[in-house]
Amino acid sequence: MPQFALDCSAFLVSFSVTPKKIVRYLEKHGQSSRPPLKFAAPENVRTAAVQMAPRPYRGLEDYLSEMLYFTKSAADTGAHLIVFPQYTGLLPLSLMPGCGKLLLDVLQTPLEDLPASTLERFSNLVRTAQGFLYEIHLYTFSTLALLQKAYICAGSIFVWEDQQLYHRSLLFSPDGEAIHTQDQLCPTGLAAALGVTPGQSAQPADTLLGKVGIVIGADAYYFELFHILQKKSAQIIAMPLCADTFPAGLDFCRARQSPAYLIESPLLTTKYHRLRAQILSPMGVSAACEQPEGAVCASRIDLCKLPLPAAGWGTDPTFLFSDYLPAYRIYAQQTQKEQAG
Amino acid sequence: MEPLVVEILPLTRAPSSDAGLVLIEGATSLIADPEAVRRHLLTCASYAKKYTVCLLSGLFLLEDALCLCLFGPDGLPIDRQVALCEPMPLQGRTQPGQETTILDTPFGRVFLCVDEDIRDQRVLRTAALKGAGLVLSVRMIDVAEDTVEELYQTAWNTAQTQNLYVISHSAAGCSVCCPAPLTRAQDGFLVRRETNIGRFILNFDRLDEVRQQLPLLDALNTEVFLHHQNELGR
Repeated sequence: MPQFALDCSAFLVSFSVTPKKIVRYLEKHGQSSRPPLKFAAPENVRTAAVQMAPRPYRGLEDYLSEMLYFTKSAADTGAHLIVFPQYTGLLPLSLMPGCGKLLLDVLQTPLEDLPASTLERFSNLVRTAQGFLYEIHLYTFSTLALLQKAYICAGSIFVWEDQQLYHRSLLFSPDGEAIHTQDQLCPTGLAAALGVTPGQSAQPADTLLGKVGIVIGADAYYFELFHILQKKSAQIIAMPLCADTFPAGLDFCRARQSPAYLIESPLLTTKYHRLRAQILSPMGVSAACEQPEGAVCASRIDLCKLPLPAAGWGTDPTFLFSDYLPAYRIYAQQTQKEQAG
Repeated sequence: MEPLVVEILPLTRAPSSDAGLVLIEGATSLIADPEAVRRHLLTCASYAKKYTVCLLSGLFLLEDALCLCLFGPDGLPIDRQVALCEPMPLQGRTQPGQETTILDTPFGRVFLCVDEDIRDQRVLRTAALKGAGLVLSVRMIDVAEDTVEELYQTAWNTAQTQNLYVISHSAAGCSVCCPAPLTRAQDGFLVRRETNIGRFILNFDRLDEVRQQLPLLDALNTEVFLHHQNELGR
């Protein structure tokens, strides 16, 4: 699609998709009789993970009804925290005429099989639609969080900021405020191919449930993130994922080593995907979806039952500060030299 | 690079002619007596020289340090690695090491992972950042504790997180873990210890291909991790 046509399409959609329409629809269909969330006992924190497959939406109401359906299903289980999958923020791209197929192609095709031209078109699309995409994402999930009186980790979205592209996850409070953002720190795969800039810090969010961290997609490969979040007292880690982000079992290794509860929410993008929505504890699987289609899995988690972290496994502190930590710096310098050479 | 043929044998048996690395069958308990250590190391040296193979020693105590040593095909020790994490049974009796030593071998860069070091990913990350493509781990862990779950948490976790081969040798047997895409079943196990296979082949060219498709080290955000060094160092 030529750039001019893309610009026109985004402009037209921005007229038909407005914050007022989003809020009005959700308020009409998404009211909840739940009491406001004032406190959650650490032994009785309820979490839910959404799994869903991307599909082209017929219009704004189709998109909103699906997000509302999953949020309500999770809230009906009593969930205080609801996690949506990776790339949830991109799904409204299918509202732009002619863009639904491109979105599904990019999400469902392995990166090594994607033609460079397709990636370029997708990159242009994300840049062109950034305004209305972010607006839909923000208003949809802030309203859902407010109406359903729950924390919502709204998956992830690509955000342009100061001429840089970030892969970002937002956490919304039951007041409807976006209280925390976490950028993907080690972009690989699609994010790297689109030129995503790595995030700058790993911080958990302060919530009524305790400290909640967010690890996006393939960042799960990096034990460092879980270690940092655990040292910052995060006991719950929301993990928006996409299809088979990492080998089965690696998440359990992270849950054990952290230790923390992992709320895994996958976007089901391939026919033979293995990942399911699940809530993982250091002791095992607390809850998991069995079927491979859109569903919610929920579980009560007991933060008091988290084991104490193993105190560094007795590793010599001199090694940590004189060999381990400098190894990152030395590696970065060597890589820069090789790239410059 | 030529594929590496690894065999697990008692020191009384000769390796195959194409073997490049030998691990000693049953050598997973600690040799503490100084005279026994001396005899063990001499035996390893002479075996390596006689059959022109690289040979991994058993765990031994030397100068109050828990060590592993890799001998080269010339019978000389390439280097030794001192345990960085003091195992519980030896607490107060040994001095932990302070750096990871990466060995240059005919089959690439190797890290010798001594006993409990396999449990701390920071140790393995250091080895990976220094260029290791193969980790040789020997543990004197009790058989009752050496469960499949323990293997997943240690050797398998290391192979997936650091994107390299891990040979894990303990009393329960020998397992070989690798990045999941290297295996047909995508499960990250090249050899499971239940199979009691005494010979296997490591293909480093395939490892390089997988690393190119999934460049975990290249995507490492060193800036952020150094920013959080207080947390990572605890």
